[in-house]
Amino acid sequence: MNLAAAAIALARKDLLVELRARQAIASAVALAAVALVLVGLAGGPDPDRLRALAPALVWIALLYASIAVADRLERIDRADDAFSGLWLVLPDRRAMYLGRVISLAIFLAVLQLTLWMAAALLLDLPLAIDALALVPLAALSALTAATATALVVALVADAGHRPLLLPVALLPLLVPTFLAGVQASSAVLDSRAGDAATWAAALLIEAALFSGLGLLTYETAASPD
Amino acid sequence: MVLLHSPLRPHFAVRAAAVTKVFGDTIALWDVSIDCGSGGLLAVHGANGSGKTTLLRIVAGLTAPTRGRVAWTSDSPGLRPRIGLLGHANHLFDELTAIENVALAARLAGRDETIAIDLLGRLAVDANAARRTRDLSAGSRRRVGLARLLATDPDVLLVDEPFAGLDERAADTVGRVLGEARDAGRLVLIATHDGARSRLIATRTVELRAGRIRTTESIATEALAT
Repeated sequence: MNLAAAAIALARKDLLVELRARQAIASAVALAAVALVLVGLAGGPDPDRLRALAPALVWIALLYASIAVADRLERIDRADDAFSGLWLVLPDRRAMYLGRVISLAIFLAVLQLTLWMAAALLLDLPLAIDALALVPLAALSALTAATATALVVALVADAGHRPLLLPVALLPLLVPTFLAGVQASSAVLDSRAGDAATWAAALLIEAALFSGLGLLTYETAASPD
Repeated sequence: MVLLHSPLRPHFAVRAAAVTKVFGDTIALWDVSIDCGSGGLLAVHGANGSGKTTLLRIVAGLTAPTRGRVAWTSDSPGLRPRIGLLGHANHLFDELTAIENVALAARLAGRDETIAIDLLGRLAVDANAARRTRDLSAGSRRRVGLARLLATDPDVLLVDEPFAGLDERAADTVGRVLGEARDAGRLVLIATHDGARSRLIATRTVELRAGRIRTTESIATEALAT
């Protein structure tokens, strides 16, 4: 089985497992919804102010979701030591990294679009036709976040204090992604296509860097020993 | 006459030489040497904590020895064996059904997924094929774990406590399947404290005590059960 086919099979497994268990997504959506409501109440009825806050709010929720979903998927792999089984059967273990990137990216893209819809509803955000550009932007930014998250979660998988270590190791890496994502989203909402394209290019470069690093180092980083 | 090596499969041999493993202040293995080839079934006996599991994980390449080395050789130069492990855990995804777990392993190994139901049948657990593995009994999970292992068509089977948690009938089934794997030219290495049952299928036994080899016994192939 080639690398891409193995990665897709593993991503499909991740999606199936999480869709049945609905633990990580449920907690991420619940937290994001609470945050949106609280910010809506705290920010008052000023639509311009809420519009300015929305991209950062969506992205903060997305960062939390990255940690929650990645940690949950890793715990599932380690629960019955399924990880060792996969490790031994795969001739090219980079498939485990790529599979995790694919599944995380799908989760995060869907979550991000859900958050935008929730923001439009709860914050009374006026989303014009230009906001359709949020769809490819959500896919790209989710991919960027997933490439970094999948690598870091593998690095800290065997650490004694993983729940603490994961955000400490991951969040600094995701700062550039966070900034580019917020700026790109703001540009889309303000119909500044040129700015949005620039920030999207920054996200693309980050995704290329993280995925290159992940493919080069995953086998060493995730080795069971 | 027992067929010890299928001419269709490459022949592999493993030699663990003077392997020592230390975890902090604990000596898990001390100067342990074993060897086994395709068509052989080496049973490592010992009580809990004697180092059996550590030895299996070192042979699998999942744990590095503190000292010593594990070397693989083959009659096809440069060919590495495909190693399958059924450790203390069953290596299953709880939210997937039994057949989904086995089919996933088969697919990742490049095999036809449809063998999954046949393998579950061979291990007499096909009635639970559509149930999520988290809902299965310990014995059924163990057999699904073995089916998952066989689905990857490994050249080398490393099985930790293959009979643990199984009733007599299920243990007989597992013993038969491991004997068949040995006869089909696989290299089989099991760690067990059930010496009586493992002697029915083993070509050699090794007794581990406190991380050291105490005794080694070869068993005539004519005496083996299949």
